[in-house]
Amino acid sequence: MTGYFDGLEQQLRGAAEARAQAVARPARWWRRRRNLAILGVLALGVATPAVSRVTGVWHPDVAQPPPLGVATVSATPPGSTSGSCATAPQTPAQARARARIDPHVLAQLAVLRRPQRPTDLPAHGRLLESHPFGQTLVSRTVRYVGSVAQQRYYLAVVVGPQPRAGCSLRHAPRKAQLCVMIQGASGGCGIGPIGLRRYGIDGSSGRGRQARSSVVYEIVPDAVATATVRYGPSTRSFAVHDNFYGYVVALPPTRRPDAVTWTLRDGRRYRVPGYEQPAPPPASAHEIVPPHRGSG
Amino acid sequence: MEAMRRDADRLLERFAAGDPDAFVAFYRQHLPAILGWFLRRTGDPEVTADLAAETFCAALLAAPRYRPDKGSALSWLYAIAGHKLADSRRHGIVEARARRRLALTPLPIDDDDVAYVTEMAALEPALDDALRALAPAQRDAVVARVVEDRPYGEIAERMQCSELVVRQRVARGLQALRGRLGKRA
Repeated sequence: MTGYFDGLEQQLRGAAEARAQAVARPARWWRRRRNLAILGVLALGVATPAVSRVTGVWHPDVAQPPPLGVATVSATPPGSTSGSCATAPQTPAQARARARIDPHVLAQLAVLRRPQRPTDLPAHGRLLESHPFGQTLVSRTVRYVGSVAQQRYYLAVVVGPQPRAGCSLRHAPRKAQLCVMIQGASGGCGIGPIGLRRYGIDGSSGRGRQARSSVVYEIVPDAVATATVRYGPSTRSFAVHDNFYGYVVALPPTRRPDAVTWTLRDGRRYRVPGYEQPAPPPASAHEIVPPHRGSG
Repeated sequence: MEAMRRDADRLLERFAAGDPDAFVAFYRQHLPAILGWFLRRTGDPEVTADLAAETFCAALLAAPRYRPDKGSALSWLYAIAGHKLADSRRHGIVEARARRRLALTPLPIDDDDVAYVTEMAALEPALDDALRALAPAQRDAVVARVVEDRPYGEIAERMQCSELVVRQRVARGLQALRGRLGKRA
């Protein structure tokens, strides 16, 4: 077989052995699921307020989506205005979609290198027409990346003015750039290869500053397998699929994570700069997340 | 085909009884067929590899609940595969729920893996035909030794013959398979 299937066989063997041992081991009273659930409820009842706060932050499996309003996307540390821009009123598309995707960006996002599928086309037809900033969509570069709280997220390439500080787009140079589009909400654009490798593309959506919960998402480079997000004392890890992960948090969209750490496929960990530490120089960011070397 | 069905049932029963090697043998035995099944439906080797991994992980998780009286292990495995395919089409993404539950680490897919998927998918019907054409005793010996990875002594005990006879059956069976698959190529 090959690396992938041999690796899978080894992992399956390990999991099968662990499960076989679990079956062979007699279930003790505290191992039974029902008793564990009762213990869990009791523990919640006597927990300190700090524990309640920790467990109350995350809502990854909410049944109803929170009301979504304006979405923001940023490739920069929270609090910075450079390169971050709320969605602006739509303007008519002004450019034809002839630009190619920056190969350095393409080399970092497997989801853009895979062939387009029917699921990549948003069911919400207006999404494609009303993409942010009135830019022109580059054909065949829309990729469905995942869903959070019943909102579907798409990664797309558009051609338009490069967002600048203060969102003054009129005289900005036109460039192909990455955008996130959210079905049922809006989206945002603006990221370069270095920014993608250092910060990913992160964003949040929710109804204004007073919203009780918000959806937070991030698009990360290929090498990232999991992302660990911390709000105050509460930490949670999310697996990355199609360069995407997202979650619902019981906090307003203005509240950003205190720390985000990427765990790469080879086990190395990388603290996303801008949250608690100064940004590394671009050269080291290149080394941390190597670009894809495949044929795509 | 009937023998293969019985083999699959037996392997799952052995796994449910606490033999982890039985599940690995089940994986080896049915991986080519599952790859072919997914590739014919998706046309994408990478998605096929991903779906096959998720299917076998889901099968591992569900194996203790498998009931032979409700259907064969093969139809049970293909039912899981069908669910995984439908879910991936509905959500536009291959889920990794079962792999996460088993705490499997993500595996990168390279060009060799893609080539392997394509080869296995093409080979699977031919291998099935060639296996079916073997004498029953030879086929059982080849499957037990090559697919299930069982020691010769154990196979000999099960087949109620000497170890030497089992070795001969495996060697001749493999030779016959090589001949048939070689002719096809």
